[in-house]
Amino acid sequence: MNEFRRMIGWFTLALLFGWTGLSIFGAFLGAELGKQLFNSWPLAVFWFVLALTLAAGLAVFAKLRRCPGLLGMHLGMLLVILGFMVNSEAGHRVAARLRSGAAKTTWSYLRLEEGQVSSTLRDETLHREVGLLPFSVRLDGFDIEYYPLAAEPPPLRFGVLEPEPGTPHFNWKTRALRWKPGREAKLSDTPMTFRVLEFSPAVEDAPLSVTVELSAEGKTHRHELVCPPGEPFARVALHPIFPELAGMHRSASLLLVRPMPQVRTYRSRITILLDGREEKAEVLVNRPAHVAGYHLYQQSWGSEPELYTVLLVVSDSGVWLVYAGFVLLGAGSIWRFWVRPLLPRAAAEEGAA
Amino acid sequence: MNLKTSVLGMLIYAAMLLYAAAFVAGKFSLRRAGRLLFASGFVFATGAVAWRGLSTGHIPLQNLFEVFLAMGALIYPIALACRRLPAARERADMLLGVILLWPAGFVFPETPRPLPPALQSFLFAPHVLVYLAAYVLLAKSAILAGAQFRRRPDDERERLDRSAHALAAWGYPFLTLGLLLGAWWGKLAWGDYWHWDPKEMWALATWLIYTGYFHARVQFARGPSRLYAGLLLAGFFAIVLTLSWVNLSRLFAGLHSYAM
Repeated sequence: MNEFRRMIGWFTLALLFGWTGLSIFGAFLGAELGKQLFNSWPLAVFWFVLALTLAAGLAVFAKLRRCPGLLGMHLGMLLVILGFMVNSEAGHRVAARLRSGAAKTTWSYLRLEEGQVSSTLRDETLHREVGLLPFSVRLDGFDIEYYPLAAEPPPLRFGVLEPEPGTPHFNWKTRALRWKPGREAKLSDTPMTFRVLEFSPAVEDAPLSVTVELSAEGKTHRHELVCPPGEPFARVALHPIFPELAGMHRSASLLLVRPMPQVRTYRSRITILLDGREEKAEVLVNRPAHVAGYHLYQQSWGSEPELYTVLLVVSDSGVWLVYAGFVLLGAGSIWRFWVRPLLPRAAAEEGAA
Repeated sequence: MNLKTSVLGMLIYAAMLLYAAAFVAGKFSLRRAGRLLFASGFVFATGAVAWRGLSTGHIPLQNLFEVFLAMGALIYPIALACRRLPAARERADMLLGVILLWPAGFVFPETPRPLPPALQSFLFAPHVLVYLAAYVLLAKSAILAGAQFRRRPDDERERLDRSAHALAAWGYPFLTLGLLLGAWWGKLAWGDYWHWDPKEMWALATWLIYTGYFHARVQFARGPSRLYAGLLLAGFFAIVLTLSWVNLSRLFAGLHSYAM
């Protein structure tokens, strides 16, 4: 038995450090590939072995069952792993096969324009239909709130036009320029310098302007850049001003960019139509709605051809197993490391055991 | 180098100066003066956090500038709580205060940014704060672990090991809570408790290293060992990478990119 216990101990350590290595490897892969890796069949075997080892540890080490902290942490971890397995795409497919029915759509999107009623679920491209909800949703209204523009000095950028691969189009590739009023600064990696003489701070619905002095090889040129309301940027082409400068890209420009106000919040006001009943709800980031086993999240919005909202629709019946695991894991670690050391009797009992 | 000439910058530099002075005072055995200077540095660091919070209108834990500023203030209460440890290393805390405030003072710009919708949550402050408490405690633990690699008498190594373990044991539940609160928040904001985001993966790897440390201690059940000290240093190295490289490198772009 002692040999078996020792083996479980070593195996647990090996699994923990193997999992650490996999996590770091997964971080380098990025979210999408990482998710694929951790949901793949070889990793399903890993999760299964990990769950089995945790269960075996709880069975053979009496201390893990007697000490509430250790029990909570190990049982919690076991529940999180089981919840993850049940809640995974493979888990949903297996559950559907056991029920001999169609797999429920676990992760999909609802695209709604104002006044539109829909129950059609789509994939992330919003083009392909992937299923139907057992209820309908009507978008009563969609609002976007912005932060007011801070009256700050306008942002200047250095940019060149570069071809977009595989298309006949060109895009601006730009780099932010650091500047202070009246001080000479380098214009990116060109041999030129610039100095801002005057500027008007960024204010909504007003022209944005900057007067700059451009210098290179003893020659200076003064220019006023004005960006009218509604325009994204204004620019001055540098090559025509300093044609003698070697290596200067023909499209090289100094750009005055109109800052965009940042989004404070966005919300969808919806009505749920289920079994002849109507229920109103408001969906915001961090405030999902819950209807008939589905969670509706505020995902994003678009404006082509009309303003529309995108709601993320998630069905995750196994999530409560994970939440129960979280509670046990958190409470167990607090008990073990913070509370237990304050209880001399409990510490003495553990020492005796 | 990002020098700051604002009131906030002055508060940060004053706190750094006082922390540094406290460290120097300790060197000359001026213990009481050192403690007074350390406490004064804390007042300035807290003032900087409060100033930042009032000027931005939100809890200042949004980006790396604010995170390091908050950790610079957090070091004092944590050092105070750790004074009774067998190897408290109070002077190391004073130096740690200077190191923690350095990125806020000289590296990251103080330009305030409004809170994006995802950060407007009741879980924002608890999630970040428990992580910061864990990071400071585990940084202290790593300092004591590192000290064990120098030649020392057995009883001194024993004291260092016990203190490093106690600090890791205080920090680990914070680390666990950070992970769990983040998962809960992720579920509310993005629909899932886990997104396989690079920052999440690094945070999990960090937690697993410390879990491995506690497992190893139970399994081998022996006194001070370079294995334990090495694991604490590895855990802290993972924290440094999670906090800096993962946030700043384009290699790890993901849902947590606003932390830059």
